Amino acid sequence: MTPERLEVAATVHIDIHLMESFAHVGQCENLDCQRKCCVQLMQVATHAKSCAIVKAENRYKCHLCRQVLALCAIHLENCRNTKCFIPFCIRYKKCKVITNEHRRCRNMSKGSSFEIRVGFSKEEVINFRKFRKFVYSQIFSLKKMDDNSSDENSVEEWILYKNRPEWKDIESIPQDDGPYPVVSINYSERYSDVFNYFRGVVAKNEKSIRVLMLCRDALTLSPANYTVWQYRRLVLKHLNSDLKEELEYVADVISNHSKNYQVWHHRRVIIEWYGDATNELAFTEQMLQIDAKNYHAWQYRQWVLTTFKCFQNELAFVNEMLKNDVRNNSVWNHRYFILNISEEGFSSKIISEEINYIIDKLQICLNNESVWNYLRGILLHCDSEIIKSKIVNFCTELYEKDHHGDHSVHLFAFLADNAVETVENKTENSKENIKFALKLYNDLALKYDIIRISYWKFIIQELCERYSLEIEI
Amino acid sequence: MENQNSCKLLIDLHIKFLRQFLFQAPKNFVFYEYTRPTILFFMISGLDILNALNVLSSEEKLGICDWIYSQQVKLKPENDIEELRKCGFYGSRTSTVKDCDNENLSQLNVGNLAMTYSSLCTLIILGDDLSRVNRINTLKAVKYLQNENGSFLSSVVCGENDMRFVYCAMVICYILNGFSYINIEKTIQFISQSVHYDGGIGLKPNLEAHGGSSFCGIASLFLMDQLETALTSIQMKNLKRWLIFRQQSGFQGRPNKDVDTCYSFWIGATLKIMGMFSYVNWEENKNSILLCQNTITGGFSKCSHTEVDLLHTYFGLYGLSFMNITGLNEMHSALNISMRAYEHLKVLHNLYKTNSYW
Repeated sequence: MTPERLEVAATVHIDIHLMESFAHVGQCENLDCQRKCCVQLMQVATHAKSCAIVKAENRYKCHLCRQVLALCAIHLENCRNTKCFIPFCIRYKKCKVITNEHRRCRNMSKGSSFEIRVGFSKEEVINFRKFRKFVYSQIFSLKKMDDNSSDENSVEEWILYKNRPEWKDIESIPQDDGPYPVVSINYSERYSDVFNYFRGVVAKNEKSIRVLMLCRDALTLSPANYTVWQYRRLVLKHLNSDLKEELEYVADVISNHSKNYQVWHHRRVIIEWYGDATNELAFTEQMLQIDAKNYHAWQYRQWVLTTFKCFQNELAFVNEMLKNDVRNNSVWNHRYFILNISEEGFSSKIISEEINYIIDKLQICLNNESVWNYLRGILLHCDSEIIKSKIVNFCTELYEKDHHGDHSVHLFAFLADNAVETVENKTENSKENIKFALKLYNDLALKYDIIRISYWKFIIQELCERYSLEIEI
Repeated sequence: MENQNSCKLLIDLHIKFLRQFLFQAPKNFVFYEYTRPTILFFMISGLDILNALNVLSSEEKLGICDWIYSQQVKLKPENDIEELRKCGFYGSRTSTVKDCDNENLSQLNVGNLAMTYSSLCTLIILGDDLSRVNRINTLKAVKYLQNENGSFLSSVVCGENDMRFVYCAMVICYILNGFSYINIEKTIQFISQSVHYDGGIGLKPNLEAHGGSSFCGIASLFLMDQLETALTSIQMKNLKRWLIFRQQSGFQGRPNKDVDTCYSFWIGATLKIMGMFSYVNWEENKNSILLCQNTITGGFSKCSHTEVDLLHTYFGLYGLSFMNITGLNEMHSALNISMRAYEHLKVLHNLYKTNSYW
């Protein structure tokens, strides 16, 4: 097959419903397999195997590989076949079974993860992750494009409101952009039609079931239009509608537009009316599976937790999320939030447990800014010198062992800041501590964190001025 | 050598990109329907960064100002608080119809702090004298949208309230010289409660620190002239550290997230306000933004392998402007307008003060 034809084949077959065929390709060893999907995808997959993995930087440029990897990205989340042929699939699965996480990871500075442990280079992993994200977004935009194109192409199936006899009683009112329109949008016929009728029902103040359907059509075309959401709520209220149904509907909209403020707000209002948030934690969890750092989802979850006081199992949830990705800053933030609002608060027992937890997680991945920040957060509440010295000793030990290995910027910064703080709080051993801090800041500036050289020099200068020392850089 | 070309800022191309949809936009812009004033602001202020407002005729500029004023909520005679909260400028024209006195429809035209903010900024950039702004009502809307905890609602109908709208409210008060309308102490309290354990500022108390909300918080304090007093020196020190650590090559918005063009503005501007921008690695930052420049269509994207869009084009250019690049206007780091536009605002302030109008 010529590359052009392959490309066409891949484009044609990029469809979320084709995942099953893709799974078939993954296990099909018969090169003469007559299934159409097999013939085409097999060759495309073979191409990707040789083209994409070897040269990471080419992957973005090769249109064909993009398409294939798009399928892979979804596929490898679901595939259970241990002998699958799909690129990345076997290695990815292997990674999942490795449980002794930190053994080989300890020295990984950044992006340490299962991918690295099965032989991908660090750069490959970073590229792959970026790529996977890109792929997901592409697939969703493709899906969206499909939806749109079916909107516009299936005019014969879609009956315009102006041609529906049951809407004859409503006046179609066009939008007025004024005599000098700016950013005037070239609305499609369907869009104008739906919104003309929307204005028609608003003008008559009609609040009926058919208006709910009309709002739905309007929101499909313009999901962030708060005017329509607002009117929809007025209608729901007026009709005393079944809120359960509304929740299902808004769940559907959120999963397609998870970064849209209006839809999350709508859900919140509906839950406030409904008064029962039993399913909301499960719902946000589902959304976080699509994007584990979605700010809206976390914000909504916090609202549910505080409003309905349902944080009994929240710490277990956080632990699970951190098992999946120890570098997810949103989860660390959530952990802090949970402890902060819990009845026990930051008791010395909790702090001590958290320090152990932190040490555990640092052993998995040392250069993980989220944990270091979290540590600083926990120490804000720590009055006990014993607990504090535990973590400081742990860090000092790491630092001494680490002399010839990988240098964590955050480890250096923590130890240096700590040394300065000790002096500021107590004044014992001050000279030695300051010297130690200066050495670390210097190392950061000149060796390990060169991108921030000016900043570290500024810190050094400030410190020297405060303690009237001569600056040596 | 290949890099040589991609590292050059293609000013003319970006002017073309920003101007192309100013009057007529394609149908995929329906996703921005509800926020047309913001889209307009990106285009106009973007042209201002590129020192290219002269591509618009004075007739066009006037037309745009008229259009913005047409989205100002009409004055109602009654002075009831619920009605006043709806004042300001609105975004979507979904319920705007011709020669219509239908109450049901016009009731849905409700002001929104974000839209009021973008509308006012665009007017200033275009040289308008703000004389048609219903100043008192707009400021009363801001006043009545302030919550008990110091934050602001975006509008009566949206219910969102977070740091973004604190910033919008502060800019509105700054432009219209109306800080006396709001509760400054509560606003400061809301901002300082949103300072996070890691040093950054979240959208609300307890929420994860974020580049965008850090900007909104710090710029708000700066506009209230409270930057030196509102936060403790430890908070300032930690925030500086947090901001500086967001630089990877360009900037990320939160720890362990990917670099994104727009944070060269959000983080860059915050550092600039705090007098720390000189400690940024300019070369890396510049290259990272320019890597997202589309050399065929113009415009910037979020990262090197995504589509260009107006938001990232605007903030990409803004981010570059902090690094003395030839051809770019000097920008005000807290107000989100050029220094040239800021000077115009100062002239207006003086004018209205001497006439005791404001």
